[in-house]
Amino acid sequence: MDFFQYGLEMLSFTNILWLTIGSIVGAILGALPGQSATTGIAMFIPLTFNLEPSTALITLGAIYVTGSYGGNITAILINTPGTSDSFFMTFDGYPMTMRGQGLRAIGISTISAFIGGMIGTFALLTIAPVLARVAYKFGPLEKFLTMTMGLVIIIGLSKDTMLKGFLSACMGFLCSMIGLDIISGVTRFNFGINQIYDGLPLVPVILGMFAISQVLSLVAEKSETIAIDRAAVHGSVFLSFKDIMSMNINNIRASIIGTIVGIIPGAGTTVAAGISYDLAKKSDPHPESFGKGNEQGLASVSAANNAVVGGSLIPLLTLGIPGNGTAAVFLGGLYIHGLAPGTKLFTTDAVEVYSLFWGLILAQFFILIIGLYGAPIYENITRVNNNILIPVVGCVCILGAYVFRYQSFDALLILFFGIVGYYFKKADIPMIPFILAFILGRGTEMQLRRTLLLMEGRITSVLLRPLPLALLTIDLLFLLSPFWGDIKKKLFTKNKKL
Amino acid sequence: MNNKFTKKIFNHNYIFVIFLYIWSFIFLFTIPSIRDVESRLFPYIISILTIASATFLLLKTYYNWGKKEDPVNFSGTLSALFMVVLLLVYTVAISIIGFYLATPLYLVISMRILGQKSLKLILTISLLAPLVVYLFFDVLLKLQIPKGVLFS
Repeated sequence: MDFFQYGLEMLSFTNILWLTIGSIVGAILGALPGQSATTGIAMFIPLTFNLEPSTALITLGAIYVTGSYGGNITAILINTPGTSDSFFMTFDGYPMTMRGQGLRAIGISTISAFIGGMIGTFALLTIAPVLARVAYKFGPLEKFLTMTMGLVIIIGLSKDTMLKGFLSACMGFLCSMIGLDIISGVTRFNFGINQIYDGLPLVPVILGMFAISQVLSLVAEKSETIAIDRAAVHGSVFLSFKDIMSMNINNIRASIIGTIVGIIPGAGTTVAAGISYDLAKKSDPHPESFGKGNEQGLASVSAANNAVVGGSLIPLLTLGIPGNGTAAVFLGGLYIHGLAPGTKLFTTDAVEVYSLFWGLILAQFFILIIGLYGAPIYENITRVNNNILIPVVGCVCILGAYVFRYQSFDALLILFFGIVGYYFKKADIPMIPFILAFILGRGTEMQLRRTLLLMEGRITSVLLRPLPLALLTIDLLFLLSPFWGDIKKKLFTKNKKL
Repeated sequence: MNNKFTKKIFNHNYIFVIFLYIWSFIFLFTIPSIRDVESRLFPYIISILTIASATFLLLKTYYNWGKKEDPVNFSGTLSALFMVVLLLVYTVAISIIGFYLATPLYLVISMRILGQKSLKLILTISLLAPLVVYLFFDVLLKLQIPKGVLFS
């Protein structure tokens, strides 16, 4: 079956309905300060549990795409990025709003996000199947090293919180060991609680850590909603063909940068947006206008941001390495539906993965619809007060936890992990290493034990094979990368002294 | 002097370290009771790594090694904990009177407590939410919504 046949199969009423729901929910959550695509995916994993895996992936993919875009709206209109990814959007988007060109800024951001998203998805479509074939050669040791790589990257994202990130991952590993050991069949660490006999359920843990903790943070902050100044939402959101063409070079360049940066795990949207913005500024005849409402600057940031989504899914779907927090939660969604990253995903589960690709392409069109026709609604969305939002999100989370296994115990679990997540947020402890270690914990342990069985004492000869050696080197490089600046500084100072 | 002492004791890193110690020592002492010997290896590695790293964090915090951390602002935590209690009561209420009765009650109470003044808005949302859940979860997704012990 070729890609287009998968596309025709994907175009069922149910899939389109869920794509629409996912796109709208993603755009709304992305636009609301304090909410994000990550929260949206966490909340929707239990809701999609009864759906076909392909429909579920389409929904989660749509939330990922439009959630990343939704943050642009609040960044442009009220100078408050819905997500940290939209931070660069405030540089030129908000000054345009201040000039009374809020709708034009949304138009530019929408068109550029569409172009970026399409290029990112096209890269995913072409590169992922090739990379998945490489994963076919992976044995237990290579799989163990790849899973470790995912963790090393996430832990190493911030040098300052590296130790806390590592401890957060340790906690995730400890939690993943609760319940049935899949190799020996014995139950460990369930402390006599029958509800966790086969392990801590993924959904309540994710919901608690991301959604409930966010609810608690919003309660603690007592923040009021910042409403849009109605005067800013004026003009036309539609751009002329000439306008669009004038931004083409920046859009395409930023999309390529976004895709490449997205593929590199851990680099993230901020890096992609930063590089694209810098290049756009350097190549512009009026660099002094950047930061004061330059349309080219806004376009490049928007295109790069959305291209990252497609790029980040390449290592996730082929090697199981999530490059950012949203991708880590998305990985949880894959596992919940019995899908595992790697070669099998592109052969036996091809229907699901190609449906996801088609879903991502169609979600880009939803960005156009939402961005170009939904502008008048934005001001109402951002006016939703927290004292309405908090109870409603809390209600959805409790229900989501319950319908996953039909056990009240799970609702208690999300409250427990909600408190843990709230503390993590307050104490600046990275949450993603915990979630990733929890999701990958069982697999990592299984591959480690298989490796030890297969090696039978031949540790050096096995580790010195080209593939494990390359993976081990990459692991070490990622581990040392946060300290690269310090190492360089020390070497440089030493040389200078000499 | 006394203030300095109190400040050090309540550094948020100490809470994290204590939490990690309790968690990993419980695991460490439970490991010998696992019947399969091979199933003990990974838990041993992780528990010991956790204890060692937590000790490093403890020393780092105590002796102020590395970059000084910003003090953590735990203001509002009491309100957050109150929300946890509210959600806990809501969870218990769902299992007794069912989702469709417990939800409007929970929404009315929580919105009022959080400061929403418009009674019209509170009532509209409290009645609309269960209806949306019914259409979305029950009808569209065919998911079983808890009816509660009183009504099942």
